Amino acid sequence: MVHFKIQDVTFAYPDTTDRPALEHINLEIRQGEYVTVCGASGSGKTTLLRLLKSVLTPHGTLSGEILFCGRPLQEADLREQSSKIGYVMQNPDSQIVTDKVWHELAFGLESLGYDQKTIRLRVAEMASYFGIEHWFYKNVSELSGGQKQLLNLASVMAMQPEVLILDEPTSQLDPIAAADFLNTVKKINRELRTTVIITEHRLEDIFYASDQVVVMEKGKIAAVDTPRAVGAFLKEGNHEMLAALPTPLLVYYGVEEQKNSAPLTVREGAEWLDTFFADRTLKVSAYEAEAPYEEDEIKDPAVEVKELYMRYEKNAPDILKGVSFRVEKGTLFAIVGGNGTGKSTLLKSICGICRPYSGKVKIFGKRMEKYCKGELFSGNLAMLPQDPLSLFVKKTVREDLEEMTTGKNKKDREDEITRIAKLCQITELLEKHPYDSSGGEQQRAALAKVLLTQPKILLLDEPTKGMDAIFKKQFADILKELNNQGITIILVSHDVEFCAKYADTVSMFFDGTILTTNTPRNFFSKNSFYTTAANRMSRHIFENAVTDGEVIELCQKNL
Amino acid sequence: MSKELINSHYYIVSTLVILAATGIFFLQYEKQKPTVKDFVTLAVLSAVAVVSRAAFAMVPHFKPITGIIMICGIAFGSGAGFFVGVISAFVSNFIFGQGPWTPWQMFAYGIAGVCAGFLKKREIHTMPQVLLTAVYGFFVVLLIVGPILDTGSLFMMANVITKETAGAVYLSGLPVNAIHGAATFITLLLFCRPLLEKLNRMKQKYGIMNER
Amino acid sequence: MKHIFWQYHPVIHLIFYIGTVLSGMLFMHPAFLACSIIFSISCYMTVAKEKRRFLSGMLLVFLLLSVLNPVFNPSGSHVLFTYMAGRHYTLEALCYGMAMAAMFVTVLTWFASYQITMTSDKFLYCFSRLLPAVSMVLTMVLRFLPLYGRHLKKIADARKGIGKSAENGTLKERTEDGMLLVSALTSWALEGGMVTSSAMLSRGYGSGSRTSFCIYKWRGKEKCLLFAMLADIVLIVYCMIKGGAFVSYLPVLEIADLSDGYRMAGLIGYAAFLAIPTAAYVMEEIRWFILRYRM
Repeated sequence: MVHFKIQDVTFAYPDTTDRPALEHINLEIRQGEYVTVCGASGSGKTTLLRLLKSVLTPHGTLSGEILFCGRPLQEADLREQSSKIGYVMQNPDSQIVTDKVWHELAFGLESLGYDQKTIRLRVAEMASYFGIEHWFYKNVSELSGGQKQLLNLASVMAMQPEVLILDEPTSQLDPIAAADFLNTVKKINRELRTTVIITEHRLEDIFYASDQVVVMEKGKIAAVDTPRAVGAFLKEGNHEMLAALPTPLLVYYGVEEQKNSAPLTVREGAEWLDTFFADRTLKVSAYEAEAPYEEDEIKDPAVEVKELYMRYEKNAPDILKGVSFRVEKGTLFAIVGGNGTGKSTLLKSICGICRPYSGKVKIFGKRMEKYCKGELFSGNLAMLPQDPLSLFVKKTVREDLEEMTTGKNKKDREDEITRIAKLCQITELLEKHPYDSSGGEQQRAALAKVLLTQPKILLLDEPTKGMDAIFKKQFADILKELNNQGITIILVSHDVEFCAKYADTVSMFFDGTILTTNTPRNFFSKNSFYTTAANRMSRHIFENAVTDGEVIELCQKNL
Repeated sequence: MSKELINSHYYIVSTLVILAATGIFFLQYEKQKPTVKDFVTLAVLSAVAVVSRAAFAMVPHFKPITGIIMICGIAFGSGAGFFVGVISAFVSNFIFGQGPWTPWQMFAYGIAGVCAGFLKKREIHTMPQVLLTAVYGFFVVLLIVGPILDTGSLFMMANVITKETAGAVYLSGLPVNAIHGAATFITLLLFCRPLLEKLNRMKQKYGIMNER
Repeated sequence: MKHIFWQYHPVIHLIFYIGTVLSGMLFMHPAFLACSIIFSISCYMTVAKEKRRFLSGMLLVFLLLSVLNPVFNPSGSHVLFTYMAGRHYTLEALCYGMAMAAMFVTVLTWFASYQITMTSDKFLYCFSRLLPAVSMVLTMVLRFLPLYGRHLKKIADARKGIGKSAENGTLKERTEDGMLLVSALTSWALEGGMVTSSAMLSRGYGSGSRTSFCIYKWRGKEKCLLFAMLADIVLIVYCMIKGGAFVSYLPVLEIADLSDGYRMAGLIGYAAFLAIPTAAYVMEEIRWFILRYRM
């Protein structure tokens, strides 16, 4: 059965003079399919998904036809659409309506007017299917981000939808919670035959499982096909979305003359490497060993942290348990580690948002407490928080930036803003309201605001959260540029791939302390779980290739 | 007996009247079938009004809640003002403790919203207009909201009301009301224009609170 | 500690607290007041964690209100002493003050245990049928409060991280900074509210008549209790109409005699009503004591 048939759909938002948001879309989605929609931000993915549910359809002009189960979508009333088409959005917090977990699960069923008995049964079913029993009676404010998003999914599933639409559901989650969530979606698709339509920028977790991949580009569909065929298509056109593909595919396309079937997972990637080297002798198997990182060799550190202890309340447990490290000037220092281990608290302690009860923080060799009021943040230190929205307090991006300028006269200040806006590529956003921009744009605007304090040390808390592959690359370029200007960057992240590619030094943070610090190559080639996909797929052949680029390079050296 | 009941139980009788009035208002509201976006917006504003207190932890005795309720009244009219006032007073008592004062606070804050609603059609753009609004807010609190709260505590504490008890309660309430009024004055002065702009932006972007 | 009364059906809680608070305000008769004081405090003791501070505070309020009343109210026939050029301080006014103060304290104590027992979800359950849209708004506000509180902290932290915090500034700077925080919070909250309303629409809110799911179930015993409570209320109201709780303090002391059968019955019924949580608590303790003893 065909669930959705989209016939020549064109959609334009009101008051836009440029191209329509969607142009001549044709797409067929059959029952039980797992469909991945990918594309750069602004390519119309979200608009397309929202058109599939009438109450969420934005204002604008629509031509063409959308058929749901063989009849026009508008003919299905609110009640039918509500129960048959489930929709999960990006932000876990804003989607939750009620204050209790059990009430949230029942919310949709209450709206549809089911009786007590039915609701009780359905809610119980959902709670056990999704493993919610343990937090069934909790307040939603006590849940973690991953649990909240799972609750959103469960409360949609309670209405037993035939189609499940997910719009970047994991962009606000850490990688482990994100993988859990996507596995649950996969399970629903497999076990209940629910049709899944999903947009995601973390393709490695869903690409291989998809039946169809739709590539969107500037409001049009560039390709619809199986994952392997889409990979080949992107490679052929050297498409910008190529960077978003899972590592095994990237390596494969980087190396081969393409005679085998392309690998989609790490396992397939490793097997492909085996066959690749089956009839070749391994001439080069490793990069030259790097000297181990010696912290003591740093003569004049930008930041020095010594034996830092911190807890939020007198009787609360320690969050930081004797953290010590030094950061060299002008480098990118990355701290990786699991959720809730205290990484953010560490950053907050370095810039004085949290007060440690013991230990020292030295900024350029001078103790933090010795800096007088305001001196620390005017030209020395600044922090970009995890949620870029928490930095915006004004009506337009420009006004927000103006708040930070220090120049003497108006001209100076405007020049400063223009320069930073150019660096962060937000010139065309300046007159917009901060909330009217996309997630990636907000992140850049927030960075611009922080940079206007002209810090010599920049602290970044999870900067790549919710960024797509294309924007990550741009962001890394900005960071490199800042490093070149002599700015020291300390970033805290879950994003192993990003740190492997761009950091100068990587530290492992666990249980309130820093366990080990090393160069990315030494660091990741020694780990076997906490490492990059490229390293995992190639470690049985190459000793210390860490990024996809390196694996490709070593392969080519052996050709 | 019944006459005696009314004479000596000012608190119960007046509170029942207040609750009935509030209840009738809410029943009316339910009948109007408000749109989802509209009443989510009212919920958001009520929650902001309650939480706003925490932003001024550094400023002693500063309660912006009445000011914010009044701005909602100015933006969306007396009905919405009353709604936000009643809800935020009720919910803030979930945190600070429910008591016999709850109905009176709900009513008093609701009335603040109603009074602000009278300014709905006025233009508030220039500084003098904002100043005038802020002064209006100060007097609404000093002369209406504060005395309603004081009357509540008077009825709560005395069944036989003499000139002396009334005088003592109202006079001792005066400085408290003045501080409350001043906080409202400052809130309106600083926050009136920004919040109205935000609400207008929401009206345009999402079409909330359209006249029906 | 959540004892057995805590787990009863919310409707029982609601009727119980409406009954106690209303009667607490109506009955000025010393015997009734004494009942109310004893049982409100014992009920509070069984549910509250921190007791001493509240109870000592209540004692202070009681003493203060009792002693001050005659100052504001000079009528009464037994003059205890005169002051300020002949103003009377009378026994009747003092008694009246004590009765008033007892009433005030007992109502506050009932509310204190109400606050612990009647959590927001129980309250909302009781009103969700009567006022569905309004109770939905209340639910949402309760959901938003912790969310907004946390975001407010985030904004404040973010501003500290770029050196824009007015923590050590003048009063004016701190006030302006607070306004800026509230302003930023409002923008964020309104925007999030639109997402919330989409999520509600997407789950069929407003698609027809709404039911209200409840996780509370009526147990057989609770139904009996409810019936007994209602019967008891009828008895008390009857007694009151008959003048069983009649009392007048000013200008002369007049207290209804309780030796009459129906009046006595009213008082006993009243005490029984107020004793429900305490009795439930004691019975549960005994049951567990026996269970443990048998093992």
